[in-house]
Amino acid sequence: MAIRKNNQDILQELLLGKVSPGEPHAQEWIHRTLHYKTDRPVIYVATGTCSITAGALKTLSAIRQYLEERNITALVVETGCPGFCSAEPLVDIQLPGKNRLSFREITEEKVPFLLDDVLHRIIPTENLLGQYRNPLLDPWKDIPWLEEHPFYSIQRRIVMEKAGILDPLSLEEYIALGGYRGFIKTLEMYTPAEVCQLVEKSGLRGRAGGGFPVGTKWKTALLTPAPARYFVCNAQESDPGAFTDRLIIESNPHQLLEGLAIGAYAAGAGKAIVYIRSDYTLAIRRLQTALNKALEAGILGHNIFGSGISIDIEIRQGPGAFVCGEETALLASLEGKRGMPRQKPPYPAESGLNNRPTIINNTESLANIPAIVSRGPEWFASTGTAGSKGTKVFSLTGRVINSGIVEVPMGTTLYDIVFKAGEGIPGAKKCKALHIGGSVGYTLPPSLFHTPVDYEALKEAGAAMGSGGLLVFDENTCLVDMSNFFMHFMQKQSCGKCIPCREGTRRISQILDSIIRRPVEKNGHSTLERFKGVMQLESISTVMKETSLCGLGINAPNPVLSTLKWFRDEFEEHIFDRVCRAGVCTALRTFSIDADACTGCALCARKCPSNAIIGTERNPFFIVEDKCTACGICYDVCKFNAVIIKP
Amino acid sequence: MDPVTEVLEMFPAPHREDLIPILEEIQKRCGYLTEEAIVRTGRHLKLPVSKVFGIATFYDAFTFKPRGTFHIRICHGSQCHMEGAARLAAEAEKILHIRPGETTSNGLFSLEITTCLGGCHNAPVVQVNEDYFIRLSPAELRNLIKKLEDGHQKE
Repeated sequence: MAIRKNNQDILQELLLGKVSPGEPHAQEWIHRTLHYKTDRPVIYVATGTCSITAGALKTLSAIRQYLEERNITALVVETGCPGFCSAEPLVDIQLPGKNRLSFREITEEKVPFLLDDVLHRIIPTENLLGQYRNPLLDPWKDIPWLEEHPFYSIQRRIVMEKAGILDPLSLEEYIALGGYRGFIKTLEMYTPAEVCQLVEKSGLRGRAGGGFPVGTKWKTALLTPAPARYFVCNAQESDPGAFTDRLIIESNPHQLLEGLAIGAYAAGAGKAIVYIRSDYTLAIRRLQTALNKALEAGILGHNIFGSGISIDIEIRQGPGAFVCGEETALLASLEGKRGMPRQKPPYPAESGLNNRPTIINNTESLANIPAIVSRGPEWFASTGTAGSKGTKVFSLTGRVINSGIVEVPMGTTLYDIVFKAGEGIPGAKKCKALHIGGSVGYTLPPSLFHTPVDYEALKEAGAAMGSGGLLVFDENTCLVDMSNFFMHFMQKQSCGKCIPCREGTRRISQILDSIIRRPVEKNGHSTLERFKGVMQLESISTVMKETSLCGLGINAPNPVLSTLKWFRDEFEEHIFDRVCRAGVCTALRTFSIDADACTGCALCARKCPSNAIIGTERNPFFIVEDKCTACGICYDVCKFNAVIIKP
Repeated sequence: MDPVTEVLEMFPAPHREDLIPILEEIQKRCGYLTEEAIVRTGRHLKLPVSKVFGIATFYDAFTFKPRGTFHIRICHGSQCHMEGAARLAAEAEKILHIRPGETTSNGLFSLEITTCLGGCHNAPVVQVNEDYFIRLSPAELRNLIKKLEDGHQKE
């Protein structure tokens, strides 16, 4: 208990600036909390959702079992994912006095070998990513630095700075790394208007897509007279292939809470709400634990450190509707209604939740705030381009070697993200296109890969930053199929309030379906129909863009339109030649049987649902093309690889 | 006390904005929303049942049928789609004879198609209850379902 009391005292003294982190007893506490000064090995296992899918929990129990069996005292710490998802499960080991080492792809069966070696100070080069740089500890000889690994070398981390390094549930570690000091400094030194000005000066713009200056938005709410104001963090990220918000929360929930608290103070809001997708169970659990700890320590809640300021934070689960990412729909959902958007203006900053001024900021925007406040707006503005300051977090997925969360300074080209951090395309294939911005994003051809990450430059290239999804397509991806996938997703997610979006997404899905379906009749009419459909694609999209109520309908045609703009030949191939060069659109494939390889086992003929395969047993079989529906069953069942697919 | 009463008593003076948290809590405790739960929630909040039902069906997270012993979630995010998630979903529907959102008649399996489970690098991802299965082919999914079924029968 005495130690705990002591712990609380130092925490408060550090936060209130009564002790500088340089003073011996504070320094001692920081070093101990961060495990720099320890006599036992520390083993860190990343356990984010992405790590768990790769088997991190099995690795974790294998490590615990190993230590128990051999009676080794070591500290096992669960961290969040540092963003390098394709290297999961990640295990870091820090031996007393030595730099922390990072290892990739440590599945449960590799645990004994790795620990046998490392605990005896032999560093296996296999699976080694590198060592962390830490001036307080001894470096390992001839071991590369982690920051020089291609995945990390072009990154500049502000939002993700502490992700994967600290235990997300430990308030002490976050404070030892300098956390919550920005918030306390804000309460002590600045008025709300000054904070708005500070954030405005930093040039931080909303990361959710619109790119509206964050400080200006806060000021609008602050200047609107009202008896109460609300502050909402939008963590309702349901875009397929975007998981930046989830990772930020799972890896460092305190950073978001701190940003949210500063924002609520600046906008004069006593109540802050985190609206998070209910599917993110782990993120919700970690955020709730973090919130409870901060409340217990008196950092958040009622009358914070006697300042008279109260900030009440509530976590609300969004029951899964993509449209609730739109701010007015989100507010409707918070009010207990269907998540349907409404007409703007009035903007939520003037009249939002319960008709009170409400600020809605994206998770990533808010996670930037603590650093801006504690290090100053000039420091933040020194990164990035003229119009876009700071960094941008992307979830890099698709056909790329290194995938995961990448945080790069604004101005980095898309090419660098994919080919430097991502290390290119696996299997020496060519990169056909990049898709930026998730399901309402844009597909870009190789000629635009040198576009820098910048609100204006991307707009000029006919794209937008969007949700931060960056999807890599190689030559085995069919772009027509991908646009169809995105459109079907949007059609399911359309809330149905306005007609252009509800009917438009359905009609476009139907047209795209007809393009990748096998022709029903062979007299050419169907080709004409399909071609008319494509002509309509553009006009339907224009109507949707001009008349839809919210961003979902306005942006839903983006993937189709951009694909049509840059890859029209691929559409034409599908329509006129009935070929899918990537071999993805299964209905367009033609099948034949290699007479030399066929043994005449008749398995395919028995399995064929349309009786299109004929022949006699022990002689080569034959596929009647007119009857074939291209289901591919014969290809799957053939044991002799005798069925040939022509794309 | 039955779980619905318990949840409703947690909100003695409910407002409209408590509706979704109430439904979420009921679903968490019962596994799904029964007709009775919706009617009683409506009465508690003084809202028409049609309104409550309309809101509950609007959101993806609410289900109105009990889930199976094995709840199979197939990820259909962008990368899982590129790696053939649609084929997995079709295979599962074919084997189990159910559509997404339904439960098999013996109550053993239920199927859900979801947007992103967060394992993009290991696509396609399938989640059965709390376990993840990665990089599955349709044939492997078939074996997995068979194994789950056999394992359950032995018990």
